[in-house]
Amino acid sequence: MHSFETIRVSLERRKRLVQGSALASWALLGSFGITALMLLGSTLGIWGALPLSAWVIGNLLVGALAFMVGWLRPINTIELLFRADRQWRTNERLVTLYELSLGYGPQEFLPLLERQLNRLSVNAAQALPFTSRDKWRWAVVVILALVCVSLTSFVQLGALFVRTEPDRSGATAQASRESQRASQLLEWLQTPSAELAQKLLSVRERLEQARAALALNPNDPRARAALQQLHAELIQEQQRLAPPLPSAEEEQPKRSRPESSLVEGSPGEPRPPQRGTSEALALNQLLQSLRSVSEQAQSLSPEELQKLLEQLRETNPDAAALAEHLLQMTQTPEEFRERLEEILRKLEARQALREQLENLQRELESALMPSEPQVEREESPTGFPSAMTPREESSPQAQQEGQQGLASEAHGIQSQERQEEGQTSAGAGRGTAPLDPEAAQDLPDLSQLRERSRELSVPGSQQDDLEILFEIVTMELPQGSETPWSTTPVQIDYGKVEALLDMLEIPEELRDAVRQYFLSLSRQR
Amino acid sequence: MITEKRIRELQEKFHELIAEIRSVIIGHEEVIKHVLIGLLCGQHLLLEGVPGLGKTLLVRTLGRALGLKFARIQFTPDLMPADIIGTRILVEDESGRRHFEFARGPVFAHLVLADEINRATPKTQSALLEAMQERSITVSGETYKLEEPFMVLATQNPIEMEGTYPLPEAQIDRFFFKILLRYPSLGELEEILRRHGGGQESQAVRQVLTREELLEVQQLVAQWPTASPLRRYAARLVYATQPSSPDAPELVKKYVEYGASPRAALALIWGAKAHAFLSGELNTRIADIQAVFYPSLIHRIIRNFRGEAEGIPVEQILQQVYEQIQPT
Repeated sequence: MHSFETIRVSLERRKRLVQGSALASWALLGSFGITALMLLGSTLGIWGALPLSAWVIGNLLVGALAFMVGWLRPINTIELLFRADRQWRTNERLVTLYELSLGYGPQEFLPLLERQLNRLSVNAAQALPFTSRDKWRWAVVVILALVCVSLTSFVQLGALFVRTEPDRSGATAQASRESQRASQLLEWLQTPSAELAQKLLSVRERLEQARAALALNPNDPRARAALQQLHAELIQEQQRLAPPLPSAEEEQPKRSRPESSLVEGSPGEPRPPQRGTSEALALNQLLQSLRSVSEQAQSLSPEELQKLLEQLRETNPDAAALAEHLLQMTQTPEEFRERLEEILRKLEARQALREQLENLQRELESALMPSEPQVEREESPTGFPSAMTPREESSPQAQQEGQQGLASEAHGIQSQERQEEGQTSAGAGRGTAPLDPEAAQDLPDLSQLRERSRELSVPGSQQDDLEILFEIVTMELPQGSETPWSTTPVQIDYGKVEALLDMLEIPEELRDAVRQYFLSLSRQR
Repeated sequence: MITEKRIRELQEKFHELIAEIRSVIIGHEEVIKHVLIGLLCGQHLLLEGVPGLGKTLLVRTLGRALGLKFARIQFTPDLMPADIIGTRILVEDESGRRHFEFARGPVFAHLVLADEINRATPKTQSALLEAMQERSITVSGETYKLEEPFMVLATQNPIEMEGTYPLPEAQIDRFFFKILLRYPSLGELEEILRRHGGGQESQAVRQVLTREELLEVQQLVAQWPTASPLRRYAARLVYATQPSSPDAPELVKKYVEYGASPRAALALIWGAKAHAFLSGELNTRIADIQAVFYPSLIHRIIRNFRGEAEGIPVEQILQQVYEQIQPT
């Protein structure tokens, strides 16, 4: 590339730079102007804040795009070189050379002019300087950029002083969750306490009746069945008295601070054994927290009350949600306190009812104490092969009926009574007809078997075998039977029992008792 | 193929030519340059100046320096075309037979000085102007080509207009340049007296250029490289002299009836090329166009009645055009 081409390329590059710069300055002038107006709107609170990174990147993109457009705009090389000639006072040599290089004019002059140009020292920036208008425009762009930065800083500083919550969307979601939780708690509190109290009174009367019946006859099956039914009902009532579980969305953020949760576990999971205790604790904490708010609310300003709720949100979110909800629903502090007192009264009633329920549960458990093995049997996991006949095994109806028997605890006492009233003669061998209570009294009780085994003081391994046997005996009993005396006479596979007795190390004395037990079942059939 | 060395040689010879002329002609540097430009372009010039400013001396000196045939025609009202172009005369040969023979007039020279051209009748003027344009003459159905280089330098006296026949605009337009000769300064006048005060013919002028070299230079100048922006500039200058042009300055719109013709634009470019050659450049420049702006256009602007009545000089009008139109 000879000197003319070098000069031409440098001039074209410079021209593109000037073009791009001019266009970029115009574009940035517009975009920064718009940005400044938007930031002004943010400052005045007309619309939301415009992040620094957003408008900086946006304006940079606009400037870069405009620069590229200006850079790529077509160049009139003849005009460019003519201008350079005028600036450099090169006597129009460049433009003449360019046209000669394009083939216009006498070509013999081309090398002559190029030789003249070799001695020329040029500076593209001098030939195509930035105009004063360009410089002023860039100055305005810089000023606008500084204004935008100042406005952004102003808005951000203002936001720091005015609002402590950095994430508006997060705060909104949390407020929504708290509102939902408060509504859930309020709905729970709407359950009339009087109805619950009436229910507990009814339970107590029936408990007294059952206890009286058991006092006359400790093996009174009806009384025991009634106690079982009461037990189930009390569990239901206990659940009604417990505060509702938070929904899954509410539960998720609380996992990080389990100490503040009212209850553990999700709604779909079975409640753990200690749930009753934790629910009572949660109810107590809710009551205490709200009472504390109620007491302090009288002397606190709205801002202080808000701070108190913020602190409470860390220790007891449910109480905070309820109080926040009430605060939003009420117009005056007095109304807020009134509504809070009303809530407190309802909670205290709940707590009182809960204490009554717990007392009832304790009494019920003490009344049921002699029949504890049966209760354990019900809760023990199944897994042994069924003692039913192959015909019964293949009958889906029989299986369904067996499952119905397992669920009899939840069906209530009415179904039990219906069974006792007139279905004694129904389908032997199908496991549907209950045993006549009078005939069942002749059967050896499993608890007696256990007591007998204890009296025998069998060694460890034999004791294990005995427990296995008891399990088998329990399994051989028709499903759904609460006690041996309420079992349904079924087709006992006595041969299997004998085989098991041979396999296991069972004391002879106990073997006879077991045999006697199964034989009596067979007789009943 | 032309080489830079040859170009430089020719340019040097023209510098010597200028020096030779200036050894005779005192002052009039611009006039000498414009005359040489006209010579390089092979065009005809109109010199306007009062008598005694050295017009004839200039042309004669030029002819001698170039070794060209020089002729002078003093135009008078009774001058006939045949006095210029020649006539057929009856001649008798050695055998006594008579026949017509064309006696060539003074126009059959390389350099023709048509002195006070406005004093001849239009018919005579037309005869010369036709020869200038066609570079040939036709007599009795026979055409005679004028030998190159052929250049007419007509003069006219701006005073003593009584009894003259001013050249019509169409004929004035055929002159490449109109060169105004100003009165010499005091110093120049003293120098004239010193050199020519002896009553003798001026010192012998040395021939520095041959006819062939002149023709070579004429061909070279014709193809002198000129960029398109310069052509655009020349066109804009000429176009701005038209009153209807949007770029026309106020004086043009106000006082000009007809602006310069396209021939004026050609004169600008050709003259600029020749000027560039004389300036030692290898390409035409804006400065070259500007240097020949006035002599190219001054005789091609026709003022309107108001302009003539108010006595607005054409130079003033052109000055405004020159200042307003900038090269772009």
